[in-house]
Amino acid sequence: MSKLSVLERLGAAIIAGDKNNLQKAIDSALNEGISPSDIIEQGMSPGMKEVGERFAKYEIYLPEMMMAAEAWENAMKTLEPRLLESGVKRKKVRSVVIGTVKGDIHSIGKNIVGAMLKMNGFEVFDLGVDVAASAFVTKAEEVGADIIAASALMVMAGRPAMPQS
Amino acid sequence: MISFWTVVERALNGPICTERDFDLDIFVPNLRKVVEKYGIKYDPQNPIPADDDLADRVWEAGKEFLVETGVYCSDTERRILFSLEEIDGALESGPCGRVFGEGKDARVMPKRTPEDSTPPWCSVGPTSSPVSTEFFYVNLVKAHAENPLGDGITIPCLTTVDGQRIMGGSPLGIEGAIRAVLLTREGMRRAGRPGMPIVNGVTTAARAQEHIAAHHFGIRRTDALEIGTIHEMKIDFDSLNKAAFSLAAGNLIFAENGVILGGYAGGPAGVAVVTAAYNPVDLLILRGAVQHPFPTHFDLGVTSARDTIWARAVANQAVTRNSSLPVVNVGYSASGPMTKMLFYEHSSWVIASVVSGGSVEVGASARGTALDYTSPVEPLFASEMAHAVAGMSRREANSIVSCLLDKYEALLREPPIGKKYQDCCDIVTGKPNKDYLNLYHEVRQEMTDQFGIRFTAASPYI
Repeated sequence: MSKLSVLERLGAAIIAGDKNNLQKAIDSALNEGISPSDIIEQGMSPGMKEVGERFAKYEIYLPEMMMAAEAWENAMKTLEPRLLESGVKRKKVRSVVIGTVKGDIHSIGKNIVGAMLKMNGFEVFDLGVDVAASAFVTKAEEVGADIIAASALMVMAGRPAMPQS
Repeated sequence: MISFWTVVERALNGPICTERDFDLDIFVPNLRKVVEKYGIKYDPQNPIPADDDLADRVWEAGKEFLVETGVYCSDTERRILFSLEEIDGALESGPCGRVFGEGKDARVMPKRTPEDSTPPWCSVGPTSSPVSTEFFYVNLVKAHAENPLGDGITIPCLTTVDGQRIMGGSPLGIEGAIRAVLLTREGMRRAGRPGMPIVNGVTTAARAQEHIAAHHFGIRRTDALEIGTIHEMKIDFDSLNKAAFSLAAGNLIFAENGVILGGYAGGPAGVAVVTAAYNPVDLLILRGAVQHPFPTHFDLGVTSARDTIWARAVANQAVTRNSSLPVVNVGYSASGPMTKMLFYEHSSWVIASVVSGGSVEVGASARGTALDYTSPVEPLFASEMAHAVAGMSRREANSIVSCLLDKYEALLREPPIGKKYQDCCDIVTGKPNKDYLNLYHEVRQEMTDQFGIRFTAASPYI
């Protein structure tokens, strides 16, 4: 199979949010000698970009983005050790700690933003909902985050907590 | 109908599932399956379809989806499942002809159907929009209560207590909720409508304990507490606690669901089906006297976008043709007070709701989030519009709303913010300034001249 068609399969599996097919495509690519770095940059990343663009045009929505992001994260479990072995350094990505603030249990907005950040190459650490201010800071320090993203929907519950966070 | 305590038992003992698996492995595939099976397709050219077959298919899709999916309790990580027989049983025993309010201000909640000439229920007010001072709060409530077409009042959201920002779940939340109710009663008394029902009790209350506290300081049995599901098809102990208390106290409930267009429900077709599915959920779990939907665009944050209007219209038709539980639609418009766009936006979603069989709650401006960007004028106009279009055909309404969308939809992303309450109304009397009144009359005339809409003479501004 040509390199181009393998790379296309990688992108298509990301767009489809299909973990299984993505893993098969990665295995094929590795067997054909395509480097982990090329698999990511030339195969998977274009797929993520396409997902982001379709979302911006309202052609797909949150579920498709989340499944694409999950497929990506799953794939990175295979690829990251191989990248380390090969000594190739990926270009530094920005990292984000995201969560819904204390007192608020709404997650959709956070999930949408988190998925969009992943589409655009950010490393995202999602703390969930009803997150204390200290938890944001602790995680940000632990991972060396560039950005803390605090989400709130409820006027009463969430927004007053935001300045504290 | 099965008892509330049977529902609670299922929340504690139903099948276990992680939230992620519920969202992506159960909710999404089940919804896609029924949307395809029942052939539900969004038609952007017709924001208000006149298609009874489509409405009934959406209804059947919603019921089947609910049976297959259930409702997720996030506190127990379990699914609450219902059989089709239980859903049908709830629909047969749903509330009818509930009375809200007291004395001369008592009103019966109508059960309407598409193209029904029965006047719709109109809840009037800021729809939980935040205000900065107690002075504005009382005067706004008074101004809304002076609207003779207002059947119930939706109260603003108080944001501070004695200069301190209210934080939900804190003692400030308790005090804020109590003050909100006391201030509302005073505002209504000043308007001569002391028995008018509060229908979004209690906005300033984020948690169940705050609702319960406010109850002891003026929430009546003929008011409605507003209790909601969580996006999508989820519930938690806090909402169940509010329901449990409301049942014990004998309160009426406005059961709210704001399906997010662009979230787990996907596009307009999915949103319509999930909104319909919420109707029996509102009976079975929240024990609502009313379904209170507001399908909202995830990006624009409004209910006045073309696709949300379509979803609302179709869901309203589905529900009102098939369910005993009445629908009171709530709306969030993008633009702010004293802009023509706000009049147009409110008109669009109100017309879509009323001709599709629903009643309305009018309405939030500036997406319901900008502090003090609220006024009594556009909600008054919207209630006049709601009455004026009762009995209108869906075809005629579709033509009007299509024209209105052309006037504003390109501006939804960056709408005009308009004026704050204190900049367009007299803060002592609550009356709109002269320019504002001129704008109100101008738009009213425009609606008559362009669309033939005839308004009543009930307005306090005439």
